[in-house]
This record gives sequence, C-alpha cells and structure tokens, in this order.
Amino acid sequence: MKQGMRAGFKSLEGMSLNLFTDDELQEIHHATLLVLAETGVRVLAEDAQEYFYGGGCIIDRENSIVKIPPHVVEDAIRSAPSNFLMAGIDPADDFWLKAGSTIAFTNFGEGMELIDPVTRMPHRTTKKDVANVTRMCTAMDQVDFLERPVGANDVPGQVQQIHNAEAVFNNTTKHSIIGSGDAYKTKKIIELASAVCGGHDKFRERPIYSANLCPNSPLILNPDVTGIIIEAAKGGAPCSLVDMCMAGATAPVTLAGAMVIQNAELLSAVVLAQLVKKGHPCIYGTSSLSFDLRTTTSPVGAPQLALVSAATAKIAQFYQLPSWAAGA
Amino acid sequence: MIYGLGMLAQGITFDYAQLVIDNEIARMIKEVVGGIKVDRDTLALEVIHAVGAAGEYISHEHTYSRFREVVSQNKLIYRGTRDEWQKTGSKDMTERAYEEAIEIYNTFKIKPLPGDVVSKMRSIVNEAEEHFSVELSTE
Repeated sequence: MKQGMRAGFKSLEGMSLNLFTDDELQEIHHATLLVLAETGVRVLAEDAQEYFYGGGCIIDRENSIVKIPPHVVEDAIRSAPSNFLMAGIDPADDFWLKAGSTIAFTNFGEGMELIDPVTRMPHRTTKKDVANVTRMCTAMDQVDFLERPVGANDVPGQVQQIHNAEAVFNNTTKHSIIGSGDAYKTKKIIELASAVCGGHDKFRERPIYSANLCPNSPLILNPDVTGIIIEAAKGGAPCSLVDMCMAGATAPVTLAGAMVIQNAELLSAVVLAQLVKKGHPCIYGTSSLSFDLRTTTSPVGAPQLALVSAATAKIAQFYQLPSWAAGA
Repeated sequence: MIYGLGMLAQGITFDYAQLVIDNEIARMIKEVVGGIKVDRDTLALEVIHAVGAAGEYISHEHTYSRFREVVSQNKLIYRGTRDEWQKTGSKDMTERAYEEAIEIYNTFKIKPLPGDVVSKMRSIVNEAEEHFSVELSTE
C-alpha cells in the first residue's frame, strides 16, 4: 500500500531523562559564576595562583583566595574540548569520548579489598591483584576504558600510584584513568605511559592515560590537586575531574546548592587546566553524595546519588563537556 | 559515562562476580536507553497486513531476520521458571557469575608489552622509589 513520505518528521533516538529545564540550567550556571567571582576558591599553591593571576583572576594572597571573573570561566568552558580521544594501548580499543547524550561504562576504582572468587573472602589488595583485576576489567566488553580498579597495598605508600600504573599498563589494552596523588607522580606516570607509547610525543598524540583528581569541598583546590592539573596539562594527560562534595556536610544540604558548589569546584579546575594549556581535555565528573546527619554516613545506594549523577550529566551537557558519574 | 562496575560495600571491595553481573546489566541498560525506533520497517504495517487477523508472526521473515538484534539475551540472569531452574541445578546468579568470572580469569590473556618497554617502566618505577628513599622493587 502506498503512503506519503514523511516530511519534517521529528524522530527521537533512544530515551533520556528530563531533569532540568534550560532556565534552571541557566540559573545554576549564573549562581556558579557568582560564587566563583564573589566567594572565590581557596588555592594554596603559588604556582597555581600565578596561572590564575595571569589569566585575569583576582588573588587575595593573604587568604589564598582566587576569585574568577565570569568571562574567564566561560572562556574555559568554551576552550575545553567537547570531544577527545582516550587512546587504547591497542588502537583497536581506542575510545572517542564526547559530550552530549552518549552513554559509556567503566569499572569502579579504587577498591581497597578484593573478594577471592574461590574462598569468597575479602583481602587487602596487592600489586598482583591490580594486575589481575585490570586484566578482568579489560575482558569486559562493556568497559569502554579503565579506571585503575584496586590499589597495590603491599608497596610503600609514597610510590603506590606508580606501582598501580605499572601494573595497569602491563595488563590492559584499553585507556586507563589513574590517580597519581601529586605533581611528581603525575610526571612519573606520564613517563611510564610514554614508555608504553614509544616516546612522549607519541603519548601526546595518543594519550593512553588520564590523570584522576578530586577538588576538595567546599571550594578548595589543594596543592596536590593543582600540581596534578598543571603536570597533566603540560604533559598531555587528559584530566578526569571527580568532585566529591557531601550535601549536608561540605556543601548545602539542598541538592541544587550542592550542585552549585560542585560546579564551582569542577569549573575552577577546568579554568586552571585551560590557563596552563588552552584546549586541554577535561572530564566533568562526580562522586558527590548526600550526607545523612542521622547516621553520619553517605549512603551510596540512596536516591540522591541517582539525582546527583543525572544532574551532573545534564550540567555537563549544558557546557558541552564530557561527563562521568557513579552508577553503582 | 557511568562508572562503578565490579564494586561492592561503599567502594571498598572489588568483586569479580559483581563485575561480570554489572557488565551484563550495563549491556541491558544500553538496550533500554536505545529506545524504540519508529519508522516504516519497525512499524511493520505490510507485515501486519500480510499476517492478518488471527495469523502468526513466528514464521515470518520479518521476525526471523530481526529477532537477534531486538530481543536481549542474558547469561547470568536466569529468565526461566522456578521448575526449570531447579531441574538445571538451582544455581543462583552469584554462583553463575563466579563460574563465568573464574572462566574468564583462567582464559583471558593480555598480549605482553615488548621486553624493552617493560624494563624501561621498571627503571622509571625505581627512579620514583629512589626519589622517595624507599626500597627498590624488583617487580
């Protein structure tokens, strides 16, 4: 049977959530700009203060407070790329990360214990476990890139992250996000990754490693965090930013206010990365939770986690930044 | 992006069974998020006319050529009846997940990096250990 052709037909591919209207997103954005310009962020390291100063921010050196004018924030949002390559060690495992409505998965990191699959008992993880769990995560078809899944607790604490990175690079073919702890270790992990890639230039072209880092709440970029951002931006390792505010403890108990704190912290980190190197890739991420004053815990399985995760994704889409959020 | 596959207990404990279960759940989430496509082929009007009232779709080419991509398949979640489940050994999801995980653990291999890369990484790790004045590791 003949039918007329569909003309100007609007089609929806897939399904998604409607959490905020455009007006609400604008309101969160403007509230965040106001916080960054008026309240400011505590930045303790002088090298980081200098980057902010050079970028047009106002520095209160006595109190180590950086106030970021709206145009500096908005420039940084625009120059942080909406798309970039998370290169696999094997190019067949390359993952092209993009902002907007796409969905991808990764494993959790970093666990301190592992359940032995035979005895079913948990033990503190070792470097060997880092290797094995990394290999297992690599085997999962839904793990699009890795987060270092567990930590090497059998090596001295000062160098744990370096050992984690060595064990990860030896046991995966995918891209990995690895926590480094400070500027020096970020540099060393970039050296390890460059060895895998066949030189630093090759690493810059195809970064197989992203630096994981967490701002402190409320509104603090401590020296290790700014050190990691500066080294990662100089060395070409994308920055995976994970905010960890607790609504009701380190951020307002109301989730909209907590999202403003989180947004201000994440954007201040994006600003620093862009001032060190314009166009440096940043992932807008969250592990923020509600804090329950009744039990003094932050329950991961609470409905608020779903709201925070969805809100983070929506705000990141508004900025055209790639995002990541908790799902388990 | 969504993270969290494999983790239990507030992010303290990693578990291989949970990892393979979450991997299966992630695959199902992608199917749901994929939504329902509405076009001429998926509306299947011609098929509906051809089959007619009181006909059947099981033997129709439209069904056969598309069911693999439309209908989800699971390895770890058992979708049968309780009777069938008991006849096949009453293994719960956790048991099937550990079996699957141990199978992958024993068979999935990563191609080793070239020897010179591995030793170059070793020397970088040792440099860091010297920097922090801790004992040099050998592996």
